[in-house]
Order: sequence, then C-alpha cells, then structure tokens
Amino acid sequence: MRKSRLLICLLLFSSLVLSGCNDLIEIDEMIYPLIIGVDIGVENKVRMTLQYPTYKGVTGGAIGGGGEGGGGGGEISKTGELEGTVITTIEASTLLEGVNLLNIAVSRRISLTHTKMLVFSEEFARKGVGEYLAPMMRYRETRRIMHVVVCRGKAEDFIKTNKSTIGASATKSMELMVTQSENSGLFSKETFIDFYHDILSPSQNAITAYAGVNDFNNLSQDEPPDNPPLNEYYNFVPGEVPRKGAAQREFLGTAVFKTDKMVGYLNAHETRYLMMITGKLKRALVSLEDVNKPGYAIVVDKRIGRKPVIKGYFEDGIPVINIKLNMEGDLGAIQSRINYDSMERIEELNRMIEERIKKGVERTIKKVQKEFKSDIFDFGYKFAGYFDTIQEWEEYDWHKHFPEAKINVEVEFNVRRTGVMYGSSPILDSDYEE
Amino acid sequence: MQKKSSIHNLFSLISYKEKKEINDFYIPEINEEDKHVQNNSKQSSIKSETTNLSVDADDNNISTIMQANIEYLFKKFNYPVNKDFVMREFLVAGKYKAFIAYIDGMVDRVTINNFILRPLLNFTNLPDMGNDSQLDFLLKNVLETNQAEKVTKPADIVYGILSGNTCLYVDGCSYYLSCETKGFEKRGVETPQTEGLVRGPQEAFNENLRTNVTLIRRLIKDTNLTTEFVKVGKRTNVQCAVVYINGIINPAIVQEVKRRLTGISADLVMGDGMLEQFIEDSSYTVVPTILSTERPDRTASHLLEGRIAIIVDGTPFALIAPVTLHSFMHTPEETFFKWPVGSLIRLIRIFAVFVAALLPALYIGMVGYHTEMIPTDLMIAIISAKENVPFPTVLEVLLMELSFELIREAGVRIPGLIGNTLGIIGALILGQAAVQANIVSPVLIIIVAVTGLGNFAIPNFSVAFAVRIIRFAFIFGAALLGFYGIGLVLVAVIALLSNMKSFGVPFLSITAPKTSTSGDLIFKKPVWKQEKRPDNINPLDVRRQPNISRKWAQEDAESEERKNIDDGRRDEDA
Repeated sequence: MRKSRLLICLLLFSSLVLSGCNDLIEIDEMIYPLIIGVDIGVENKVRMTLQYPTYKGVTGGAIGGGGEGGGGGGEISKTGELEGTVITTIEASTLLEGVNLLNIAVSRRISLTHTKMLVFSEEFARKGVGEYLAPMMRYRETRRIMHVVVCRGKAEDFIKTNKSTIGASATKSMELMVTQSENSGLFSKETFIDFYHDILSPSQNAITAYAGVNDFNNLSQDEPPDNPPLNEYYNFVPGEVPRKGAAQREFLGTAVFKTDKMVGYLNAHETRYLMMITGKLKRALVSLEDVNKPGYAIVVDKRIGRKPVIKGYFEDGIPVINIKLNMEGDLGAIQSRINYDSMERIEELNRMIEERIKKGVERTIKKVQKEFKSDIFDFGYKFAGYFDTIQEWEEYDWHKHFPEAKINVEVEFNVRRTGVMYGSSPILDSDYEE
Repeated sequence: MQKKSSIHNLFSLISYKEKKEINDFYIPEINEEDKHVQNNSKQSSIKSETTNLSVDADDNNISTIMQANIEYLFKKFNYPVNKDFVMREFLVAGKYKAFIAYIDGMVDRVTINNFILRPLLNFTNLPDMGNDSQLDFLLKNVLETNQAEKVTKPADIVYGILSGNTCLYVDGCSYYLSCETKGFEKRGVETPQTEGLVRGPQEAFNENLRTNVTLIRRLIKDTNLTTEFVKVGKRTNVQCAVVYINGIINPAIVQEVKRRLTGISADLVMGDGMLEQFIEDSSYTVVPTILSTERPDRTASHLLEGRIAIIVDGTPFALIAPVTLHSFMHTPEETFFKWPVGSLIRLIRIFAVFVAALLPALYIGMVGYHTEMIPTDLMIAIISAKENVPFPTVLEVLLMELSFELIREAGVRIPGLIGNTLGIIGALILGQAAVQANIVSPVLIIIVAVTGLGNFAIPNFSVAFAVRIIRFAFIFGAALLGFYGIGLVLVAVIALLSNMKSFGVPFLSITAPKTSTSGDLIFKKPVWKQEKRPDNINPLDVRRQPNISRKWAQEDAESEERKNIDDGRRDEDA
C-alpha cells in the first residue's frame, strides 16, 4: 500500500517534471518586434517590415543610446540598423508565415508579444485587411493592445523613420506618441482588438490612426504677406504638414474603414468632432475666429463635460439619431480683448462656441454618411435594441441604412475657467483699433 | 485475484473514504465546558498517594532510621564517585543526629552556614516531643530560611536537592525538610536579542525560571495569575512553569497543556525548542504552531488574551499556545505606536512575507513564460544585461539564492563583529563580481537582495525560516509551469496551513474559519476600541473592556450637552 502510494506520487510528480518546462523559453532566446509594417507584395501577397531591438546597449534601458548599437546614430545603415534596432523586410503569403520565414536569417525566435504597432500602407488597407488579420487574431502571441495605423505611402518607409528623437528608447517613443491622441484629439487611436472587433461588428465600423512621413519640404518658401489669414481648419493630410524638425513620421486624422477596406479619411478637425461624439475627446486646444471681430482668435481648451447622450429611434422606418453633447472648456486667450469673461457676455461666448461645434459635428456626420457610408460613430448599438434577435438585426443590415439616418445635434457648452486673468483691458496703442 | 486487489488498492488511494474518528482535542465553548473538563480529567487521573511508615528507605518510603536514608541518598546520587553531592552529619542541640545534603554549586553557602547550620548547632533547649513533631518544631522555631517545607516523598526530596534546595533530616523522622537555598550563577535581565523594539520595554527573559515568572508577574499584578510547575524529561527533569490567568483562559487549554507535558516520556528535554517539538500538533510542517518569545510584555499580553505560557527552566523564552498565523506577524511595536502607524507596519510585514516567498518565483515565471507582462523597456534592459550570461534563469536564481543562504549561515556562525562584516562584504563583492563575470544578470541581484530584505522583515525567526523553505517550492513551481505552477503551490500551501491546528485552534482561524476579531488582526483599531478577546480561543471572559472604556470622554460629552442645554435656557430667559 505504502509502496504503491509512493509510486503514484512519483508518477504524478514525474509527469509534472517531464511535461513542465516545455513552454519555457528563455527571455533572451527571443526577439520582440516593436512594429510590424504591411505593404502589398510584388512576388507574393504581402511584404512585411519588422523592427526589433538588437540588445546591444550594455546597460539595457537605453537601446543603443547615442548610436552605440550601430547604425551610425540616427541614419539607417545599409544593413537596416537604426539606433539599436534592426529593420528587416520580407515577402510572404501571410503575416504569420512571414514571421516564421524571417527565421532563415534571424538567429532568435520571433515573438509578437511586445509589438506596439501594426502599420498598413494605405494602398494595402484600401484592398482589404481582413484575411490577413484573422490568423493574427487567432495566434496566442499577438499583442491585443498594439495600435493599428494606416500610413500614406509605404509602411516600409514609415518604419524606416521610426526612431526616438527624445530619449533613447524607441519603445517609449512609440507608446507616448500614440497617447498624444488624448492630448490633442488630432488623430484617433485604435487598438488591434477593437479594430478587429469593429471590422466584424454588424453595428459599427472600424477606424485607425492616419499617419504619414514628412520630408520637411512643405513649408512655403514664399515671402509672408502683410496680413496672413486666420485658418481655423487644420486641413492637412499626414506627411504634408508645413513643419520642420527631427521626427519625420507624423500622425494626423483618422482612417475610415468600411468592413475591412479603407474608404477614406477624416482630417484633424473632423477627428475631433468624431471623438466628441464617441466621448473620447480628453482635451483639444482650438482657435476660433471671433464673430464680433474677424481676424482675431479665441483660444479655448475644450473637453467633454458629460458623457454624450445619444438616442436612436425609428420614425416611419427611418432611423433618427439625437445627439446631446455637453462640452466644457477653459479660456486660453481672447485676442480681440472683448470681455467675454464677464458674467454678461460669457453666455454670448458659450452660444458662439456651441454654434461652431454643432455645425462641425453635423458637417462631419454628413460627410461620413455621404462619402464613406460607414458608421464609425457606433450609432448602430442604439438601434440594435429594437430587434429581438441578433439575426434579425443582421438581416436589417445597419450598414445599408446608416447613410439614410436623420441626425439631430444639440450642443451645450460652458466655459468653466477663464484662466488666471479676469477681464482684459485694451492694449494702449494709438495704432491699435478700438 | 491478485490483479483485482491491486486495482482495488489503486482506487482506494484516490477514492473517498469515511474519515476515521480521532479523538481530536478542541477548545469547547464556555457553556459545554463542564462536560469536556470531566472527559479530560478522566484521562489524567492522579494516583492517590499512600503513606505508611517503614524502616527501609526506597523510592516510595522514607525510613525512620537515619542511616538507611543516608544510604538511600548516597545510592541515588552515586555518592563517592559523584563529587557534587555534599552530605554533612551533625547533632541538633547537641543530642539529635541529623544531616543536611545538597549539591555543591547549586546552593548559596552563606545561607546554609548562617541560617541553617548555625541555628541548628547553637540551639540548645529542644523540647522532647516525639520524632516527627521535633522536626516540626525545628521548622517552626529554629530554621531561618525563608522557604522550608516538609517533604514526605523521596522523589520530591531528590528533586529538591537537584534543583538547589538543602535537605535536612533528623533521625527518627519519617519526612525530610527541604530548605530553599538556591544560589547558582545566572545572567541578569538584559535587552531582547531577536525581538528588539524602538518603543516599549527593553527587557527579556533570562535562563532563570523564577526570574522569568517574576518578570511576568511584575507586569500582571493580578491574584488570578497562576503558575503551575510540571517536571519534564526523565533524566533532565526540567522544571516547566505553566502560566495562565484563571478566569480568562478556557480551562480545557490548561488541562490539555498539562496532559501533553506530563505525557512526555523522553530522556532529554532541553529548552523550549525541544519541548515545542514534543507538544506541538503538527510535526511535519515547516510552520511553527507554538509561538516562542523572549519578551515578558508580549507574554503578558497573550496571557491577558486568554492563552497559556510555558516557560522552561534554563531557556530565555516562553512558549505561547494556542496561536494562529496572525500572532506570528505581530510584535508589541504596533501596540505602542498609534494605530495608523501600527496598521502600516503590519501591512509592510505582510508585503514582506509575499516578497520573501514569491518574488524569485514571479521573476522566473515572468521571464520564462509570461514575457508580455514585463514593460517592453524593462524587458529589453533585462535581456541586454542577460545577453552574456550563459545559464538559464532558473539556474541563476538557484545559484544566487544558495549563495545568499550561504552568506547568511556563515554570518551567523562566524563569531562577533566579523559576522556582520562578512554579510555585507560577501553580498556586495559576490554580487558585483558575479555580475561582472557574467554569471548572473544584475536584475537578479536586486531580486535576491529584496527577497532577503523581505525575509528579514518577518518578525518571527521560525516563520522566516519556513518562508525560506517554501520559497524554493515556489521557484520550482514557477520553473515548471509558470504562474500556473505558482498558483498550484500557493493552493497547496494554503491548504496545508488551514489544515493545521494549534492546541485545537485552526491555524488560519479568524480568517478561515471566520470568527469575530478583536480589532487587532491586520488593521489595528485604537486600543480603547479593542473591546473583545480573540473569539477563536473561547476565553471565559470575552470582554476585555466595556464599550466605553474612556469614561472621561463620556463625561466630556455629557458636560458639553449640559452646557448646551444651559445656554438654551439662558437664551430663552433673555
């Protein structure tokens, strides 16, 4: 009895010992691509570009701080080394196979557990991404919270400019770059898991961030005019923003998908309205032209006051959507020096901003309804409740009916803080218009 | 047939069986106690003593002839060979034959010379009134020692002599006189060695039993504080004091402790560590179920909660039972500070236990199985540092853990100041050199160091040892199955802990099974709010203090109220 008990214990124990450790892979026997780019292939379906760290920084932390890791500091070398990382490109039939195929040259197992970003070229996105994403989703290792980005031009070129300009860590740079969406509302951010869910959803459509590579040739070389115009709308596509600097890649606007195909994009301004409706706008500094004094701007720090209230119902078979936005904001500047912050005129200012927001929201929704016919505002969920079963809802086909939906927008705006100044007195200058 | 039975055996191993009825000790609730005490007392019935006069001196009888008694004692103490035993014959009042016997070194010579021998020899007019009452007379009128008593059993006088008393016998008597003359060398009361405090009393037990009991009695000046003595060990004959407070402690605990103490039939019982192993419930676990402390104040507070203390002569520790796991995580420090501080200290301590037990295992699990959990930058840093280390992580961890244990063990054994130096130098140089030689990665040095710190923060030495052992089980589990393995080991550890008992009290009680707390478990209430004694040991007196223990606060409130009413009246008048 005692012996057999011992034997059973031994067998159980050895089954642990013999079968355990099977999945254990030493952390340094793998490489972790930080970013994956996908382009249309020439000889095969896809051409994918991976960037992974080389671990050559002696102290860690700083990946190849100051060009230590090769690549000659900032410039990409012929062998694809860039600031402690290596960029490598391969053609394959699917993404996962491509990852595996790379092991003919890369000496360590490739793990997707730390991928920060998945970049599609616009060309590729417009052809449809679904068939390539499904296996990625099924794969255990894929990081669900990596961000999906569509870039103008080639994804390969985008990745070649992906280096850290502040600090030594490319990873941190990527992570923080995406969170700037919350700081400005100028571009959307979407994680892989949400993106995949939205592609399949019968009630909504997918969006991603829209990005591009700026070659710094967009700043006009002309002499500035006497009185440059005040341009409220930031109507640029990524890659063509007039600026100069260190970081070439830039994020601006939202790529709009219908099913798994990209159908268009929203510019930065429209992205903010999109984020207002979906309740994701954390902060947006905007310059509005003063109605009472054209040519002068009022700078407002806008944010969402309460969660937007969206109600959907059917009227004669036509879906009607009521949107109630409650926004609030702080005053940044009043260039016209009109005392909007006095109790009498603050309502006037509120109305003025409400009007702008309402117009912007309506215009944005109309553009999406007309041009893209794709419900990226998640309105579908408000109507799904009217159907008893999912099958009936799917049969109704929301995507077909979304463009005909009637939209009513109601906006309330309140200025909460006027900054550390109360009232503004005119600048005493004889040339200054009173 | 043979085959069938083996299959049957196999099934019987994993199938449910009716549990065997074991007469397990438990502490009864107060109302069902009468029944239980009777049961217990049946087990430990005391033999009724029989006395009869006899001529021969043996283990049961004291002879009335002096020579027989002398021979008996000589034989007992192996006299001519054993030089420690001293016997002096003399005449009391010039006519009665008598002797005193004692063990050299155990007694105070001045006491014997001045207060036993001198009065007996100088005394002249002893009334003639029968042998037995003669000794009685001497006891009452002549002897000048503070403690002297009649002893009618030879075993008792032998024990008295062994523990430093002086034995007096007058010819013709049927009993001895045992005079208290203890006077051996002992250590003074010093500061605690392992349970030091920032705030609070700074005295510890020493090796003297009397001193130790006195230290407790000085803190609890209560008539109900009871000390019973039990002898343990067949040859060592160690005196054990069983200390408890009558009226608070559940009598079943006292019964059970005495039953276990008297039930020890062992040659050698030295000190509390050995005694603990003889009377504890669960011998095959690494975690102790009896608390050992060197602090009188801590002992006193446990006594006041309704526990029992066992102090073994010759060791500066008291054993406290029954205890739960929580008691091991406490120190008097928390009580002496205000309650928020106390709570914080305890939280840190619990954190320390988790760090000490789990940190290396978590590291192995994360690095080997769950890399997605590590922040990418940190992961790259870990890999870069590990690039040139040729060993698998598990081996690195074991290597470092073992060398850490080595440093610690060596530090304890090396005498005095060198010990401390070795600890620091060893850790620093070994760690630094190991990193430079690419034997381990630097992150690991941090892990092992923090684990070591966590271990030192555990207030009880025995528990700290237990955690050290369990840590290796966790490392093993993590290396095999990652976090799942850690989870399995954790389940096993908790299952084992909750199965343990300390004198009938489930080891995790108050938490599992849940009982009402005394407000002093992890988060401390202010002392005036700790109104009840721990429920899990079923004390006779549940309440420690009334609901309002600060009468003055009530008075303040009342006077405030009166003032308000007065003010109201005055306003009305106005």
